[in-house]
Amino acid sequence: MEKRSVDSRVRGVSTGTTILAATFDGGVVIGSDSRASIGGEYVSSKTINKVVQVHDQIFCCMAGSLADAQAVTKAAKFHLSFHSVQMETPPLVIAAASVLQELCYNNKEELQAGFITAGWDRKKGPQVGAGRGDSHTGSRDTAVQSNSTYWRVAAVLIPCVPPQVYVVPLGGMLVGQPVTIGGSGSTYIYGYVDAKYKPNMSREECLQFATNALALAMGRDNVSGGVAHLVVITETGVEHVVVPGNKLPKFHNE
Amino acid sequence: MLQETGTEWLSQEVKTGTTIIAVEFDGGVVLGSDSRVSAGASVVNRVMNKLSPLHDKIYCALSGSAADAQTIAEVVHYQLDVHSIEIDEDPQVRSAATLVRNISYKYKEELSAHLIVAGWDRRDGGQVFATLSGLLTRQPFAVGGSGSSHVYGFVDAEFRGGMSKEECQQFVVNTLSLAINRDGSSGGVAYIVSIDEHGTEEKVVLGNDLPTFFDQ
Repeated sequence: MEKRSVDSRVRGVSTGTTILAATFDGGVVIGSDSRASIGGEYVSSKTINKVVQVHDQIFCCMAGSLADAQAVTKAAKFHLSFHSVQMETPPLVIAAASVLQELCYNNKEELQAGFITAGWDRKKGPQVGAGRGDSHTGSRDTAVQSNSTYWRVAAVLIPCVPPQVYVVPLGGMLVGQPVTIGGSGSTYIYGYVDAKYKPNMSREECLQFATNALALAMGRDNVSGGVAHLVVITETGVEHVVVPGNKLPKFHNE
Repeated sequence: MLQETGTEWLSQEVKTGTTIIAVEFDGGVVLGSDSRVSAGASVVNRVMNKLSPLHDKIYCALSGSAADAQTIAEVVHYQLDVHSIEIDEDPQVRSAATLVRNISYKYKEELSAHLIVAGWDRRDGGQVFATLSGLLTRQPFAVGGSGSSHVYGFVDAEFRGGMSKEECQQFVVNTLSLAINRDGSSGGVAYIVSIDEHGTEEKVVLGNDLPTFFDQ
């Protein structure tokens, strides 16, 4: 397991975190935990919302260094709104993922960022993507958390087409997947996600799957915790679901 | 650029980067492991059985440095033999685990191996003990090795008390398969050992017979 730097003066506030995105039949669910910590020793915020809106129906999830994540989110928001004005139409998911990919790739020395872009657009339907800035470029999404890694989850909703998820790993590659996870807590739930995710689940099943996965990761990762923020994006709109800590599913050892 | 890895295996320590698991059921235990032994980026043995007998009905699962783990297992095997002659009956699982723990704790600076001890005895039935870093704790199930971190979520979600032997075996095989898929240091075949009052059963599940999941 990788070691995390504990030098808080250098790293600042970071979001050791768990984020995920999954497609279901008719939409995507993206979610994250809510803990921000300094070096894994002090929890600086218990209720930070790492699911950030970058366009009308596009959301990003943050992980890694908060400062970097917020700066990149701002830049991506600007690019996407400009793009959508030029095109006179809401951006496609892959366009949102590409914006994030460019930011990641061109600044890869300073940033170590990965993105999960989840959304729904007119052309391809529900999509999930992840962007990450490390040297892993396997076709499977392996969210390795390194110093100041961040994850973005952008959910784009455009009516008429199923939602999609794209992954932009560190380094700036772009891969589309039905489900993806990221952040430090994600290592503990690879087995669970592999075993339990099924394509074309119903909305309720997918929501339960995402809640369970976040709860399991928060249970094992000390830098993930708090509440589970979930956003469900479908053709008809966006819905926020917040599951407080005491309402999270409990497992055999709790 | 990737470095030339031709002779790395000569100088790197041989590790059983691995996935091991032991689960208790009503009436016994099931142990499981993968079969990969690596030295750096090379796989030096793809069929190693990491489930080592300490006594007729007590087994241990090896992880960490291959040499350290094997040595601990052999020493404890010998000590248990002597002990069982002295008490004139089969040893308890707790005794075996204690012997492993004593070595792990005393030499914790020099050794880097984690053994999970599991077995059946007449007094307490099936038991699983973890001995990481020299502690001794009995648990309903235990996972270890480099591949275990990927399956914590899965085992937390799927384990239930009161499973039957067949359900346990299926749980172990599923867990090993998921870990092998994600961990580069785990792979090969799955060895399963089931121990109960009636005896010990060893089984091998070959790579292509392992369960597959939605992305395979």
